[in-house]
Amino acid sequence: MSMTRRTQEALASNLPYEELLPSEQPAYVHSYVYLFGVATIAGFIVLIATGIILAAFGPQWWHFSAVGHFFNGLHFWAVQAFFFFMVVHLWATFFQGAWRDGRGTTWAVGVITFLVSILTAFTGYLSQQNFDAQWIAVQAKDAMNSVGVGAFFNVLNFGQMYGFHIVILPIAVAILIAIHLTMVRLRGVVKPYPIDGTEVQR
Amino acid sequence: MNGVQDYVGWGFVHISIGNLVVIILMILIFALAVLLPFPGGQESER
Amino acid sequence: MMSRKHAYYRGVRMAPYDLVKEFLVALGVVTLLVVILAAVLSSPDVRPLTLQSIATTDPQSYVQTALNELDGSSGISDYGPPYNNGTGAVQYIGPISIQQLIGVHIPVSTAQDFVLGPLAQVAPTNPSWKVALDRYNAAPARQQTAWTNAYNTALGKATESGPHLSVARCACGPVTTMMKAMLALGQRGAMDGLLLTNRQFYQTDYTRPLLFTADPDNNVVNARATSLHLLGSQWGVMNETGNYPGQAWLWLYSLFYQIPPYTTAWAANTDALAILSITVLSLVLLFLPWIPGLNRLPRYLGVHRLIWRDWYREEKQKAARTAKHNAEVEA
Repeated sequence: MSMTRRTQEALASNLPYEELLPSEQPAYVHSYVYLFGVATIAGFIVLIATGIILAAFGPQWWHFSAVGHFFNGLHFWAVQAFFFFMVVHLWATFFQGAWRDGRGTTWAVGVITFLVSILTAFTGYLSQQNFDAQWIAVQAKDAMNSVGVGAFFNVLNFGQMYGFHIVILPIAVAILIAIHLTMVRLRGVVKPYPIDGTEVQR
Repeated sequence: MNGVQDYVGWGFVHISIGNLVVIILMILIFALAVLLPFPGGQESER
Repeated sequence: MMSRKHAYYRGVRMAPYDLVKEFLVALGVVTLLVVILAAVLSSPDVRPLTLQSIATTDPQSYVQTALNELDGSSGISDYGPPYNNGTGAVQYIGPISIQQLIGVHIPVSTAQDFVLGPLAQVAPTNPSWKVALDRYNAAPARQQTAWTNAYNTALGKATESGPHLSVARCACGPVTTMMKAMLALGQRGAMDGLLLTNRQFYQTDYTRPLLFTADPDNNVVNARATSLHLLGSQWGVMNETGNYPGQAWLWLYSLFYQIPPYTTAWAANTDALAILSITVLSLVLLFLPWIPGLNRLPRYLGVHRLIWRDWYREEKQKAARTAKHNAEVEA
C-alpha cells in the first residue's frame, strides 16, 4: 500500500473531523469551568494578532505613536488575560483530576505549554526597549548566568530575545496548543470522579 | 496608573495592588465558574 | 473501528454542545475585555536610562564606575563566566558550578571595552586625550595601577554639584584626563553610541552598554529600580512599573528571593538555588499524574463535587429510578 494511502487511512480512523470537532459532549461537561481552556486560546489569538501589528511597524513604533501605544496596550492586557485564563484552567483541570484514564500526557503537554508561555512572556518583557526591559535584562542575566544558560541565551542581546519572542517561541506555543487540543479531542473529556467511594481510576 | 505605586504587605510579603487585584479576580472568577449554575437542559424524568 | 473515545463514552448520556459558537463567544469576550482595558488603563512605558542621563545626574557614580572598569575592580570586571574568568558572581549548586563548567562565551574585557576602546576611537580628534591615552597604554602595569589607585582616592573626596564633578589635583598621571574624557563623552551622549556600535554599524546586541549602565557600582540605576519596587528583595521579579499588574505567575519564583535560607545561608548562590528549586517544583507539576499521593489530592479536596454536581444528581436519580424499577419487577 502506498505511504500516502496508509497516512490517509490512519488519519481517517484516528482523526476524523467528527472526532476533532464533535457537535456533542458527555452530559457531565456542564460547568463554566470548562470554558477556561477556550478562553486561554482566545487570549493567545489576540496576542498573535496584536503581536503581528506590533512586529509590522517595528519595535520603536509604539513608543512614539498613539496608535502604536494602544496596540501595545492591547498586547499587554492580552498577556494578562492569557495567563489569567491559563492558570484558572490549570486549577479547574487539577480539581477535576483531568489526567486520569490515560490523560497524563495531556496534562504534561499542558504544563510544558505553561512553562514555554512563561518563557515567551519573559522574552517579550525583554523586548520592550524601556526601563522595565533594561532592568529585567540586567537582573535576569545573573539568574541565567548562575546556571550557565546565559552563555547561550543572552538576555542583554535584544536581537536574540526579540527573535525568540516573535518567531521561535510563538510557533512553539502554537504547536503545543495544537497537540494539547488534539489529545483532548482524541481521548474525550475525563469522566467525573466516581462518587460511590470506589478507587480512583488511573 | 503610572503614579506612585501602591503596595500592601504582611511580614515578608509585599504585593502590588495591580498584582493583588489580578490574583483576587482569578480566585473570584474560578469560584463563580464552579458555583454558578450552567444553563442548558438536564435529562428530564422518563 | 470504534475509537478509543467512543469506547470511553459508552453508556454516558451525550448532549449537544456547540464548540464553534463557544469559541467565537470566547474570542469576542476576551477581545472586548482587552480593548476596554487598553483604552481605559493604557500600558506602562517608563523611558530607559541612558549613560548620558546617568553621567549628568550622578557624575561621581559614573566616573567611579568607569575607573573600576579600567582598573578591574568593578562588578563586571570580576564577574566570571560567561564574560571573563573572574569569580565575583560565580554561583554553585553544592560543589558544582555549571556557570564555570560552561565557561566564557561572551568575552568582555572591561578596561578595553568600556574605557580604552571608546577613548581610542575618539582620540584622533582630541589631541590631549590622545596624548593621555598613549601615555597610559605605554606605561607598565605597575605604573597604571599606581595612577588608578591615586585617582580612586581623589575621587572618593570629590564633590559634585549637578553635572559638575570636582576632583582635586593628584599624582594620577594621564588617568585624570582619561576620566575627564569619559565624563565628557558620557554627558554628551557619545558613550551610548560608542559602546553599542564600536565594532559594527548594524547592531542589536546591547550587551556592552547594558553591562556598563547597570554595573552594580552604579547608584542611579539601582535607585530608580528601588523606587519602582523592582529589586529582587522587593518581590521585584513579579512587579511592573507604575500600578500595572506584573507577572503574577512568577510569584513562586519571586518567593525564593525573600526567604531564608536563600537570602541568608545560601546568599552567595541565591540565583542558582532559586532556579534549581523552581525547576524541581515545575517537574513535580509536570509529573503530577504519576506521583502517588499527589495525584489523588483533588479527590480528597472535593471541589469536583461542586463542578459535577448536576451530573451526580442525575446519576443519583437514575440509580433511584433503576432501583425502584427493579423492586417493582421483583414484586
